[in-house]
Amino acid sequence: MPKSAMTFWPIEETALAAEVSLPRPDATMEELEQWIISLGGRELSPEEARDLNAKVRWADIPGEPAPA
Amino acid sequence: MPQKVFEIVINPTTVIRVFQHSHLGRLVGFSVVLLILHEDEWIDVGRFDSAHGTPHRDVLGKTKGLREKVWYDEFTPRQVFALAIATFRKNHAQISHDFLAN
Repeated sequence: MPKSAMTFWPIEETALAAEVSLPRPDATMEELEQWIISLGGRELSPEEARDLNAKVRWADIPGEPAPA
Repeated sequence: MPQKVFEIVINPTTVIRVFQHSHLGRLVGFSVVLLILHEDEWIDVGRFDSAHGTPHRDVLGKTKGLREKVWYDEFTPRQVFALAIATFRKNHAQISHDFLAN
């Protein structure tokens, strides 16, 4: 990632931010969650998450457990 | 430490699953995973997470497994969290293609 002068995001991410409308770097957790919702996301219940995650064949990454 | 899980459905065979751990309004851990349905099985083809104490991206390949780790030392976890979701949302097709080709 090239080093560049920036206030919030470097140049590449600024271009991405313009396309996908990134939240402010200092957004609150609530704002981040609302942003996810605005992208078409929804929160899964614990049961849904457990059931869906059980169906995934997670990549084996050394030193990292599966996200679920 | 409460965890929330979100899902963004891109299409019937592509989803972004977001795991976020927060404590008193602070993001203390996360995983953002790009999943595709391939040969009747859901697999993760890309991952950003905060393991190892520094937010990073795990670049994956179907055959090669972990191909590369990209570290985001100059970003806060919150920035990488948002960047991960935006990157997968925008570039999911290319990332999936690269995964299957490697």
